[in-house]
Amino acid sequence: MASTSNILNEKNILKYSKSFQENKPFKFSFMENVFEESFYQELYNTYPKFDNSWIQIEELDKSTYRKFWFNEKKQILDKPGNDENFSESWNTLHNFVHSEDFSEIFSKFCGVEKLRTKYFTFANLIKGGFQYPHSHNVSPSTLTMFFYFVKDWQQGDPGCTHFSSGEEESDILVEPYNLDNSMTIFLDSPNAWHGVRYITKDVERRSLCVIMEKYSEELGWDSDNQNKS
Amino acid sequence: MPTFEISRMVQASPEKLFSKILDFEYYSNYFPQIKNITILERSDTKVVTRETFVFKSIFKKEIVQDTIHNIGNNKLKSEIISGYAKNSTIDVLLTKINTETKVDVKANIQLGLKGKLLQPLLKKFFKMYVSGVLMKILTEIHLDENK
Repeated sequence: MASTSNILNEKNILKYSKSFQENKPFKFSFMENVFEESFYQELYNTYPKFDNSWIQIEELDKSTYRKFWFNEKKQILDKPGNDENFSESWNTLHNFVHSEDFSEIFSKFCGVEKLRTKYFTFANLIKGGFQYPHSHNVSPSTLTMFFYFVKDWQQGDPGCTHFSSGEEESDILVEPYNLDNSMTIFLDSPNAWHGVRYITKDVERRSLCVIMEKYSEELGWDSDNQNKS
Repeated sequence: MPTFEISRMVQASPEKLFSKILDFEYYSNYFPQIKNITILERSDTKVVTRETFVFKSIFKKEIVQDTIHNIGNNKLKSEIISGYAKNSTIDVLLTKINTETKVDVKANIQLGLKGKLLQPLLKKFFKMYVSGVLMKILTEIHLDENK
């Protein structure tokens, strides 16, 4: 596997750690220059082509497309391993997000120990795509991140995952417009509102969603223990 | 009885929006919980529909209800006349404002004793469902325009 320094701009990411952990009303951040530039270009150039192999998700609260590792048809617990349907750089990244190094970086970043990657999903939204603002509230250790792979996103255009204090557009706190080697990240909580405004232009919001969560061999995933007395 | 209201601005003409709102048989494409909607009666001012819902996560069974839709000038008053939500009403009003349309939806939900348990759930999902349907209607309008 490529070394960490050839994949992620770890130092740059960790610069945002303090502001992330102190952010209100919940822990969220938008970060730029996330991947090392040449690695990012490889990911960008080989991002899965938008075709009919993508799974369309049409529900009342969302309109989006997803693609899963190992050609899964729905989101299931992700596991390490190569998938020849994707490029070498994407396989490198997939292996990396399941590594101790990746867990350590983001545990350090958000202040939650024993994080482990749970889901790895390509998420693409096109014209007409949206995600109604919502919060998951599955566990206090669930860390959701979206990595973006889009050049020339226009200032003010809807489509990036935004953070908000409620379900109205007027509640939006941050909506990024640089989707070129950037990411949005938030820690789950009852008020960790996020969504995607309705996309009005002929664009592709190409992204990768990685969800991590505290895991222990003894207790399993944190979210599985939330409703237990 | 709970009353829910929502207003949304939509980038489409009231006429195009209203035409889509009246396309009841297409609603199962918006709501996964709607198995189908059939037209029982239709005139210029009134449509009677039969809706079959499948709420797998709540009831795990089918629910059938009939609804009378009274059609006005860019406004619709629907009254559910049978089923769990009998006597509930939903009012939709479209108002043109510059190049956009203001959509006002007001629902007065009458539920039986069992159904009252669903009130918090209805409140939570009302805005999301109305917003979601409007966005999907908007997509349909854009697709029609690009045909």
